[in-house]
Amino acid sequence: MSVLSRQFLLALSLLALAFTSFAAPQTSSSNDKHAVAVHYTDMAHAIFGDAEKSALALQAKINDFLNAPSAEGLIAAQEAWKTARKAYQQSEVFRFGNSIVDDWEGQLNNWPLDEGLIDYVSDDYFFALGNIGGDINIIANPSINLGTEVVDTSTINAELLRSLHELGGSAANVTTGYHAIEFLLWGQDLNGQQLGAGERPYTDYLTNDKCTHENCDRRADYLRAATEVLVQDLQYMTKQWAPNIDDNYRAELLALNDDVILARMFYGIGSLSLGELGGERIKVALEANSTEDEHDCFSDNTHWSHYYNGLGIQNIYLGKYRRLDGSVLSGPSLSALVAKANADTDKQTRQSLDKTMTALTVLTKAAETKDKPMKFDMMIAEGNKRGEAILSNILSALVVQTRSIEQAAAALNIDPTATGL
Amino acid sequence: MISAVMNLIRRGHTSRTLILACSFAAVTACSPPPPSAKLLKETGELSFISNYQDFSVSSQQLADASADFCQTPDQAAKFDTLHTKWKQATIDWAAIQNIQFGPLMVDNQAWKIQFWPDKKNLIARKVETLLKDGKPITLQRVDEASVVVQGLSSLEYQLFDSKAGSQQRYTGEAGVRRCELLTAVSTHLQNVAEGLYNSWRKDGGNYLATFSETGENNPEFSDDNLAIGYLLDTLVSGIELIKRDKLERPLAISSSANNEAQGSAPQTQVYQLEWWRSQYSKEAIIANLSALEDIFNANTGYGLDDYLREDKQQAALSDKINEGFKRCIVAASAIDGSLFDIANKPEHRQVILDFHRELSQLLALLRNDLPTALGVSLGFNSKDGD
Repeated sequence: MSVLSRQFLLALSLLALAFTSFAAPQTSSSNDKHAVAVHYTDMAHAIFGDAEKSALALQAKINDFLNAPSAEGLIAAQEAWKTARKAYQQSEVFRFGNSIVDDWEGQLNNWPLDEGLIDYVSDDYFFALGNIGGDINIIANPSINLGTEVVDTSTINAELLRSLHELGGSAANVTTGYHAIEFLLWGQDLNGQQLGAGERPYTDYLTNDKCTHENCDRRADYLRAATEVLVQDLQYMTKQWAPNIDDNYRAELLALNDDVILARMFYGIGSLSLGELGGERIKVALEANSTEDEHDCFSDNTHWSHYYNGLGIQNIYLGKYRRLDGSVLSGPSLSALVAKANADTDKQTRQSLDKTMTALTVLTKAAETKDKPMKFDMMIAEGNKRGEAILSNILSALVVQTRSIEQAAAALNIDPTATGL
Repeated sequence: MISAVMNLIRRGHTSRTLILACSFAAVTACSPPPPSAKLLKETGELSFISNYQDFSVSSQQLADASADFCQTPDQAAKFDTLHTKWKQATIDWAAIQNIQFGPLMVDNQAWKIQFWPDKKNLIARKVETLLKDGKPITLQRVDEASVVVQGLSSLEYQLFDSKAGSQQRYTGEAGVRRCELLTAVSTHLQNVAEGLYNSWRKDGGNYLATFSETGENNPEFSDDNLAIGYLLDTLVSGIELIKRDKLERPLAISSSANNEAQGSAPQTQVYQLEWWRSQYSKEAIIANLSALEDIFNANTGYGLDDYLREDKQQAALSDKINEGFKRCIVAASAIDGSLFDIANKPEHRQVILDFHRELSQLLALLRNDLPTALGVSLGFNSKDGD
């Protein structure tokens, strides 16, 4: 976490100080709590399962494209990437409160990245100061010199990409995950804070003499390998949440005290709400007017990433998840537990979650409208009052929502920081 | 509760907070204050307000020195003075950098003063873009611009960068615009610093009353323990910031390991050091430590040290914490040279690790022992270890 966002978590923390002064008028039975905990793991299984399925669909589209590169094939792969983000972004709510997810997510969703590590970039590209990997260009180089060692990169495969991830200890050296794939599908967004995303030509993948920007075969190998890593990683995580396995994370989690599990649920939604989504992903970019701090900067898909983060938070509280196939998984929820203890608090919490989703819908509509769309990178431009208003509105809603979440936890007499972590 | 969070984002909230805080101040004046109230009042008066005042004064001097230098930008002595004034303001900022509540949190004041870490060199890029665009550089322009071009970080780039920070850049016709920016950013900083000081002062916004006169009518602190919780968070997150963000991340030190594997060189990220351009990281860290020690002791007044000793019968812990601050300052002072310079020199590694170990020990006291002794709980921020 950057220093700049610390104040958000702090604000959250101070709410916790007073939780003990509330008392739950009606305590829920341990059966109720356990049912909510079990359903939480069911939801995780469904959401990671959807992330896995949509990553497999992405892989299929990428294979089709690479087998016969075409403009249409590239667009189809890009669309599949956007679809693959939907469930994953909803899964991020499991990060905070579950170390197994948080320790793993970097290889899937690290950003911002120094894309010059992977492929060609424009002349005015900047990378993290002092990053030895910032302009290495793995695709163009069959071996790379790191000063202290020379790495053989003649074969680009999953193993190589995993070994080079975060090389030199720099978090900007991202070789795997959604954003590496995003860069390979879109290329750099050279439009600054004007309309337009990355415009990588499909010819970057032609294996004949029409290949543009050289090394098309190695670029294809890279894209294939990065997608394979993504699929493997998601398969691993889905299994961790699968029922009826004795030694996976789900079993380990459900063996804990139910209050601890509920604390982790609250901690997860609170931290994503204010610290990560509000702080890292909106506030930093807005205050610094910095496209470098835009989440999905190559594809200009940031508005949807934010939207699905918000939805992920709401899902957990309501115990409800709409699968990618449209079916709905619903079951015992925090909302029901809170309603039993204090109906008003529950109502307020649900309303504040709704309000955030409304504010996020304003964002997606502004970004998707046919007539003069305004993407996230345009909203954060200096002097864009309307963009600033849209994003500030989301921030305010997240603040209120986080406060509601704290009160909901207090109504159950749960200390959201007592996660046992 | 509510305001603690709301303050972070909403404009205009403080004024309401402060009015409310003043209105009930008179009520509590009749009975002798409990030790906890005395603690808050004296810490606020003798430590916080005093530190804000220092920062306000040195920012004023920095702005004056900028204006003075730009009158005759070919005088090397004035450029040296400017450097000295920047350093003093930076040291004074270090004394309030760790405060985790109050006016500093409202409308992102802290970001306007310092943007760090600047991983993608945004400061250089945005400052140079602004210099090139030809539009007039005014105070208002700076105020409306990205926080990246504001504050001490931007001034550090303008004064200490190996290229942009050379005195020659300010001379001749080409230097005029650089001087305009230098003076505008300095004046903006001075306004921010003065605003913070005024928010705390009794005859200004009197945030001191909000902080030290708690109660159910106080919109921010319903009781003393809540305010003491903020003090605690300030101490804990202050040491955490030094340990993790100022040492571990840039210098590739593992958070727990005391012994490093020999052989492979640590993968340092020296451009993530605070104040790397001016090579002033160590001095700022020492200033942080002195300020946190000062907060713990309420300077010479009735501070957490006395409160622990007299009200909580925890004299031993009080002494241990004060000893810890002293050991940390000694260990930091023992580092020879700037962190930027010595980061990759093996012969300096052990001294840095020794300092890191002292910080870990002090942090353990503050994070584990102090909350229990005070009967106050720590929150998310200080626990997450993220």
